[in-house]
Amino acid sequence: MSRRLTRLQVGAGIQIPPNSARLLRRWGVFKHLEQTALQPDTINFRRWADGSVIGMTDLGAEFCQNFGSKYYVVHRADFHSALYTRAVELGVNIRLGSKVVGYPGRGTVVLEDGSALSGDLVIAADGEDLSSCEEGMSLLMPVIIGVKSLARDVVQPRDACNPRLTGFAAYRATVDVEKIKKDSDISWLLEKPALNIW
Amino acid sequence: MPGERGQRSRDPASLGPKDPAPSPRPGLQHFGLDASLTTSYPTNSLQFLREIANKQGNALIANEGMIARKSLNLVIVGAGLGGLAAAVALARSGHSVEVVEQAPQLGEVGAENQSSTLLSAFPDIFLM
Repeated sequence: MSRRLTRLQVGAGIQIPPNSARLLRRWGVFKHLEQTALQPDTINFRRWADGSVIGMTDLGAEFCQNFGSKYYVVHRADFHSALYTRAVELGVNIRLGSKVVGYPGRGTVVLEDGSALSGDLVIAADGEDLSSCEEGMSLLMPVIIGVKSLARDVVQPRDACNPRLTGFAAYRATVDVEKIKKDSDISWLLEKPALNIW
Repeated sequence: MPGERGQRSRDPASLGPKDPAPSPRPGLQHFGLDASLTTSYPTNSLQFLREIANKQGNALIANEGMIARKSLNLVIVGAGLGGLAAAVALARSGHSVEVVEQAPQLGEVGAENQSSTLLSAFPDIFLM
């Protein structure tokens, strides 16, 4: 189970390029995203100093024809919901409120209530490994993103491939479009759907 | 297509030394771009992919739709994007899948539609 705090908005927007979109259609996931997926017209590279466009990828009809799908942007919540709906449709049993506290091996996980669950194979999609980070990261990361993989210690020897603190940080924010519309400096961003990179 | 992002890919025929024409906008030439900023296809990566496709046909997706000869009982820990995507793919292949998730409900994130208030400067990319 992802130990991620689901209330946190960890990366509000997700791009779905054609290779992923084609696969999601074949899987029957995308039908649940048709209503909410946005279709940006372009990806614009802009000069940091003045916002002028210095590079552009056209995501129009020719792009779609070449790569077999449009390029989409979805909200993470909508994407999550679509995957969940499709999994349930396919008969996947999803047990909520079931925290895994141990991986004793042999295809078994131990839940918080003491019960065990076994299968031919256990797939640990339980978050990122922060157990062996450098001190600065290990202190910060669980607070910031609320995730820590319990399974990583089982499959990977400690210190084998530790994340390193680079000194860089990523900041994400979601802004209400109504506020953007009222700001003359940035309202042009909403003129048409696009990805902008400064 | 991470390599595609932001590139202005150009037809190889136009890559000669005489191209591009002098740009009226300073700085663009530095990036090998002309002022029109039009994108032309096929891109280099697309040409590469087509070359592979010509050699291998659709071998890369030949397994699509196949059902596993032996159905396994699978436990997936985590109902995040990765866990659920794995669940969908494996269930389609004929496996029996059980997902365990610590959160008491997914609706906290999953059911809420916030698309109308979304503007991501540069969202994550879902690569598969």
